[in-house]
Amino acid sequence: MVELKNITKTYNPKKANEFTALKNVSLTINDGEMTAIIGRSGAGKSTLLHILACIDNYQSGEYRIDDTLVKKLSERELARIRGEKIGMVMQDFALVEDFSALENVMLPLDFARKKKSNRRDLALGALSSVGLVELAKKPVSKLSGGQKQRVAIARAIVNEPSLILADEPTGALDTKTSAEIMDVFKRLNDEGKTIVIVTHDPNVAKQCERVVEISDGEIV
Amino acid sequence: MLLKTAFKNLKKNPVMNIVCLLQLTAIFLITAVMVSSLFVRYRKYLPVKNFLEMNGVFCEYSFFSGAELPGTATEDMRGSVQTFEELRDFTGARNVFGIKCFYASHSSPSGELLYDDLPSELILYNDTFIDRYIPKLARGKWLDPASDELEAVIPEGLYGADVGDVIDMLFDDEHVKVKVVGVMKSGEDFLSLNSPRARTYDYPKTYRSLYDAYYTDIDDGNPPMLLSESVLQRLCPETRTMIIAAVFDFGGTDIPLQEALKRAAQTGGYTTALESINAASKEYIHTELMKLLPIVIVLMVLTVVSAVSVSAIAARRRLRDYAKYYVLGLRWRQCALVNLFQTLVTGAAALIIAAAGLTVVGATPLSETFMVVANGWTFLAVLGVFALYLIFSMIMPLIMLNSATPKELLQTE
Ligand SMILES: Nc1ncnc2c1ncn2[C@@H]1O[C@H](COP(=O)(O)OP(=O)(O)O)[C@@H](O)[C@H]1O
Ligand SMILES: [Mg+2]
Repeated sequence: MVELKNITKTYNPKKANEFTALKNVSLTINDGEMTAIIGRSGAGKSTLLHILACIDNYQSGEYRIDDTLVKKLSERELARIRGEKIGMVMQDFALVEDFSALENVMLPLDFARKKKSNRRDLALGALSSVGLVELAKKPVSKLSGGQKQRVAIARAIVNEPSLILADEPTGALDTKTSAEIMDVFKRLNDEGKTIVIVTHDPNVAKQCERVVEISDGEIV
Repeated sequence: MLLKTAFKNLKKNPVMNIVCLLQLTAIFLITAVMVSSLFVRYRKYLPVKNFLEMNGVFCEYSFFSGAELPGTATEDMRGSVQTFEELRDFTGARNVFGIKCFYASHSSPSGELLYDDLPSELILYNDTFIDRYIPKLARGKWLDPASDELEAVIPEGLYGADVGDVIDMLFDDEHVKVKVVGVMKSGEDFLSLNSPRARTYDYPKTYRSLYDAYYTDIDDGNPPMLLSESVLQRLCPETRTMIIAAVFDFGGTDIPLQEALKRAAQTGGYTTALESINAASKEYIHTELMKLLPIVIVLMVLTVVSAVSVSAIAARRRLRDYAKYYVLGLRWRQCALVNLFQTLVTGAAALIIAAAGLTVVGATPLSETFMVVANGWTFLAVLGVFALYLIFSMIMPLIMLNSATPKELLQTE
């Protein structure tokens, strides 16, 4: 269970371009839920997801993962949560451009505390679940937007995290591929993973059991 | 694993890394050349510095300086004066640092002249000189005036002898055994003050004309051997030698410089005040450095500017990758380590290339022009630059990080 309580996030605090992107946001997501976060561009969806992914700070409020206060965690524990508990698909994919698709997908396995011996097979498995196994050796810089997005998804799921956060994961995909990707998420959800998807697409939102709308930094 | 990631990053970004590598190599080379060229000038000046800073007179008993030269002998005493003690007493100097020489031939152990060998010049240092000066030896030890053997320091390879060997020589017609106690590298400089062999004739006289170089492979005669004057006097008193130069130290006496110059000239030599040699030497070093300075500054500025910009671009680019690693479960500290490894590998490779380059240059005649001295100082300077580069590339990401969270790094394009 992840729980946000009265989270306020201000960019560039105390500067001329100060901007409060999240205002007193409270949200609880239970284990095994599949949630869509919708809202207009600039509403604060990505900001919310980054806080959930433990890669951004906030000015006030509390964030708990499984009843543990995230603020109290050490740098080491946080890194471990980012690497092994959470799988994050960034809006701009955040792939290492010089690496191949396979190398990108292997990164979370390389960084994990417990080293699995079959890292390559696991990575190939993740790539095949997004239908990209034949492009494994290709440098990501040579892939199309949709292919990159699928690599990012494969990388997010390869460590079998219990919480998968995806920022507009179908944004660069056609309808058919979108549907395939949603099937991947649904399958993972069926396996018990908690899934949070930020999306513009009503079709995607429709497939989630819960929809949270955010507007001007507030949940409506 | 972090190391592996670092290597992977290096491998994946060859162009950027090779540019960085070449720049670093260039910086190392420039540093080495710069420090060397400063050092070469000082290296030769430093051993004579304590002579030149004395209050006294340099006196050259030249074989060919004529009366038209300034400071030339007003009276030639060389017929009557034989020892440096006599010169000292005559001039009233406190100390005399003197050099004599004579020629002798290599002989067979039984004392027959070996005709295929040209005569060697034997350079004799008096005791005060030996006390004050040690040339750079490759092996062995410097001369001992108290020795009861005729010791010599020789250039590497002379007569095939090395430290501990005994060389058979003919001094006039006397068969003499000379024991090798020290060996100098071929091409090494040593003080001879005034030698008829090829060397720099500069005017005004600077420290450079006090030197001779020790070449084993010269055509016109054998290279010199260095011996103690007092030991020769003691063991072979009959050997005829010539006084070739002396430094008269008038420090602590109340004899004014003009008078000192006059008295030294009366001993039959061509005199120069030490202070004017010193001034000319400093002037020479200064001019040489000034000649070098603009080139050095331009090169330094160019390389530093390009290195900074390239490593800034590289650091930005890397930082974005590190931010991605961060999202995927690395700590910042680990990212910093990856960065350090990457920097170290590039730096070490550049060091090796630079060192190899210098070795190659050092083996060619180019070494005269670039004057690269592979010594501790050059090495230290290069290491210093390496350390600066390391610190710089560690600090750069920190500065960039200070103003941004990993997430913001990902957002900036
Ligand atoms: N690093 C940042 N610095 C300043 N403002 C930001 C930053 N990131 C996002 N914002 C602003 O915060 C608001 C919410 O952004 P975001 O969460 O990315 O919106 P969404 O994902 O819903 O489109 C936007 O107005 C955006 O301009
Ligand atoms: Mg967004």
